[in-house]
Amino acid sequence: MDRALWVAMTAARNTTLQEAANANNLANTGTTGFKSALHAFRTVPTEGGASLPTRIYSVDSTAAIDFRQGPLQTTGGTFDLALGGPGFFVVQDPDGREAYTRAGDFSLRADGTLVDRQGRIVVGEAGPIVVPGDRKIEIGQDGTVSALPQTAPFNELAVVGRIKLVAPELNTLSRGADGLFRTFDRQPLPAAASLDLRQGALESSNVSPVDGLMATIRNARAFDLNMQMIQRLNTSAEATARLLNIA
Amino acid sequence: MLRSLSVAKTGLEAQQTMLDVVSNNLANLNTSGYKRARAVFQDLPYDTVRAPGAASSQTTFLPTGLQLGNGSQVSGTSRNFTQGTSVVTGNTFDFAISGPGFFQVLLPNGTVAYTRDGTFKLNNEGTVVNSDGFPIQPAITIQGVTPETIVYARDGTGTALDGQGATQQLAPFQIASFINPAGLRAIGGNLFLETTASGQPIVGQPSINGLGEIAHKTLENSNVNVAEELVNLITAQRAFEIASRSISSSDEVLQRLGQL
Repeated sequence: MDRALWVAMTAARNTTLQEAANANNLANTGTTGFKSALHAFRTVPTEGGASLPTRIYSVDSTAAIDFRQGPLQTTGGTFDLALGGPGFFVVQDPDGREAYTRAGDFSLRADGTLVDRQGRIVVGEAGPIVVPGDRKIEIGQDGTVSALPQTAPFNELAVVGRIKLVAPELNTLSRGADGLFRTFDRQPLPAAASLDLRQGALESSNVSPVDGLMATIRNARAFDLNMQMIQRLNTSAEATARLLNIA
Repeated sequence: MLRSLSVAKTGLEAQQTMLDVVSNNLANLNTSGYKRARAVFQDLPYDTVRAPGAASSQTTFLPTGLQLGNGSQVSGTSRNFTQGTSVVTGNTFDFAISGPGFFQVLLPNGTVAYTRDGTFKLNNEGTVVNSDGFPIQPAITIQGVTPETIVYARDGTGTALDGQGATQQLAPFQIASFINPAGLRAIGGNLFLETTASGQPIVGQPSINGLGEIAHKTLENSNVNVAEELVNLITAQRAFEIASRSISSSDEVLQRLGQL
């Protein structure tokens, strides 16, 4: 019976872990560019030794990242950017290499450099993008940043740079501790053409509250089932002990 | 105790802040020159419990890891400096800036603050001051002219007629712009202070070098959009409910554990 108890205990404990991941998704319903984490139970059979292959533990694991498009929310901000399809923005990691994000709520540093919310430099196709302060900034669908004079003459258009957009294979990406995505080999990716960049909009979180709340209920019930299992096993252990006492 | 409990708590806190920001925007619906703020969320650092690719035996590797997030937090409030609607008031000392730029106001402690609110008045010395009585910078003193005849042009230069009907030049307006206005620090009273994030003020004559134009006898309304704020209010409220549902579910789990 003790082994069955371990199976039920492991399942209950990993259900609470899965609920923690689900609670994290639900807590991030308002986070710009957030992508849900998909968790799944992984089977861990116990084999070998003298025991029979009777037990299969279930263990929680981060199976994948849900890269589905989040709804676009119009904000009107000059440096609020969103991708209306596949692709990622590139920001510079503290170690100087590329990291990828869907959160396009960028702003300017005091020297005019385009940075993300945490102050990391947004990578352009030819280095960081530095915009002049006295110009109106227009960002085209392909990421081209141009500076227009605020006042006449309006025809002095100057291209400042082009925001680097990449389209990596989604299964080569993993999420880092800081929530940014990185490829496994960390090599810089080539800039992708024909992606759909929109200025003045932000991509909302793609967490589905319906899925999240369903998962909450499912996890609570799964936990309850395992708790009942533990109690049943306890009852049968008591019965065994009684029998042995009589003998 | 239970991980999901503390994770859901961060969601409640974040949505609470969102409600605070939205209600502040709605409260300032009629504040001249007010610029709406937006709460910006980010996900908290992730804990990698088991890394993908770790060895599960001598010859096999785990295909997937276990990564658990810690919830969300408000990383900051971002202020939207889009133009508010202009209202022609007809008052001689009402000014608005159409385009980028801020009026400069000298605080009593000697620092310069920046504002989009052009509800000015004259003080007892004839100096143009804001609603709190702080003089604007560089100082504009109106003496020996009929106040009703004051006319300020779009480039910030002003004229008025004196008692004899002769045209007098008035001190011009100078306005300041910032490379990153979102980095300014709001101190209340419709005033902002420069920070390292905003950069140094670029002071100049209105309507040239990218600065906005002066609109005389006009005020700029707040740029709060009621429909948008109400939608934000609903979103925040529902997200709050979802996070609290997550908490009550975690509570049930703990309750069930206590019954063992």
